[in-house]
Amino acid sequence: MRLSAIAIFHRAPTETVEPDSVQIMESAFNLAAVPFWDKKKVEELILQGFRICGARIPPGTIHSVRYPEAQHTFHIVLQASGKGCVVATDAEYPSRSAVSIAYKFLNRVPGQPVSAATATTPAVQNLHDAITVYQDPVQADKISLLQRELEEVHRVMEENIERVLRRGEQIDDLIARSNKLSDASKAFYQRTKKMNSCCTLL
Amino acid sequence: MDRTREFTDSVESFKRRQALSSSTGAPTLGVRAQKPPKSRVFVTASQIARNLGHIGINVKKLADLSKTSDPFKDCEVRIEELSGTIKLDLDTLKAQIDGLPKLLSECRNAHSRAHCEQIIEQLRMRLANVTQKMKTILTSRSEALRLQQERRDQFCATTTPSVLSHRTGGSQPYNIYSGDPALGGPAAAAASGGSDFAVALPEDDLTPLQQTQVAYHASRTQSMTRVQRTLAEIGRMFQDFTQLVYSQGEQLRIIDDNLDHTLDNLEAATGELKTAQKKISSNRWLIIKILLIIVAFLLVFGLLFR
Repeated sequence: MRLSAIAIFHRAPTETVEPDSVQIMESAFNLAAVPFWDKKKVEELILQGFRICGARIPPGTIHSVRYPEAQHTFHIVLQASGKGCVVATDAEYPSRSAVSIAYKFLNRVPGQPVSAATATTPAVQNLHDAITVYQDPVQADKISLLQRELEEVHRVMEENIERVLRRGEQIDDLIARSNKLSDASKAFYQRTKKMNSCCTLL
Repeated sequence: MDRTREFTDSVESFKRRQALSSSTGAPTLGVRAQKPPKSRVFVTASQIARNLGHIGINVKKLADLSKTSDPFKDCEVRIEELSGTIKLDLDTLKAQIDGLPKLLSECRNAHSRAHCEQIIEQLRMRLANVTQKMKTILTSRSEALRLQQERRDQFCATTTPSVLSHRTGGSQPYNIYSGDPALGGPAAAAASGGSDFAVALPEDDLTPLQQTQVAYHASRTQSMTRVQRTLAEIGRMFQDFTQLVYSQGEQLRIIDDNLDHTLDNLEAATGELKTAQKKISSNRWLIIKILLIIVAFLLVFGLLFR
């Protein structure tokens, strides 16, 4: 489950254009898994794939395309204005996270971080941060993040209930013991009272 | 003012005139001809007055019926009938009263004409009164009906259908999606297709492009429903937890009570033991004294008997 590259590009808002007319404005790569001698080739292939996908997609759509030559899947979001963002991942990466990454960068307000830091997620300022942070696809998709946190809470609550049940058993034991103690002390008191009333001489 | 004497005088004068006219020919005809038109006006006027009286009674009945406001009695039908008949009678009477001025022209002298005009005026006023009463009754009745309807609506208001809640749950991804207005038409259509995901999904006739769109939104809907379910479960778990803790609190209270009782009993028992100890320790001296006394008595008796 890896995120390899993100790129923002511009192209004419017509239906389809030539791949060469797609201008890539910004791009970031994370090709750590690719061996050193293949890095350049893979980078070229990915850029080529970006260009082709960006060119063939009609504006105002999102799409996910598998590109076996580059061993990647490209997730593209192309707005009607011709501005688009494409994310290259491997086949396991959930498309929803990739598409939400694309949206984040398309709607980026310059000056503000793409995603603010919360208690559980780090801040994302630009493409390079994004590549590192969003290696975990859950970080990109808020719904998945929410689901993960809720599952954590669920797990913790289950543990709590288990502990409370054990505590309940211990409390039952304590109740039994305190009952016996109380009965014994009552018997003791009655014995001494009887002894006092009856045994006047030694 | 008692005008019966005047009446009897006029009757006698009429009789004399009739006796006179029986002897003379033509003038009596004129006199005779004078009377019927006058009496016709009066007859119709008296008829109208009687009808007005009836209508007044009907209007009173209508007022009583509409005031009962008993929802269980079926007054509606009766009220409708009564008001219909009253309206018809009022209309006929109005026509008759309007027809009266025509008969006025048959009155010969000015006095009788003035008299007739006065009568017509009175009848018109009475008619106006009755119609006014009728109008007030009708307005109050319509007001009561409106209040009834309002009260009924208040109690039988239709609840929002559960479909709406499903819609809001399913259309959440649509809303998140529509926060991006830059995307054009096909995406919006796909969004609505995605939110209806639960209904039908004819995937065969979709191009891969459309499939991606639908799949994107379908996955969002699915995740949202999962989140909802998890949240509900967590809520349930919290409730169970609270209940368990509460019952355990009760049990702890029982334990505390038990220990308090034990403490009381033990304190009382130690008190008893202390008194027993005191008794025992103080007893010795008494026993020694008693024994000495008994020994003394035995010695005395023994010496006596020897």
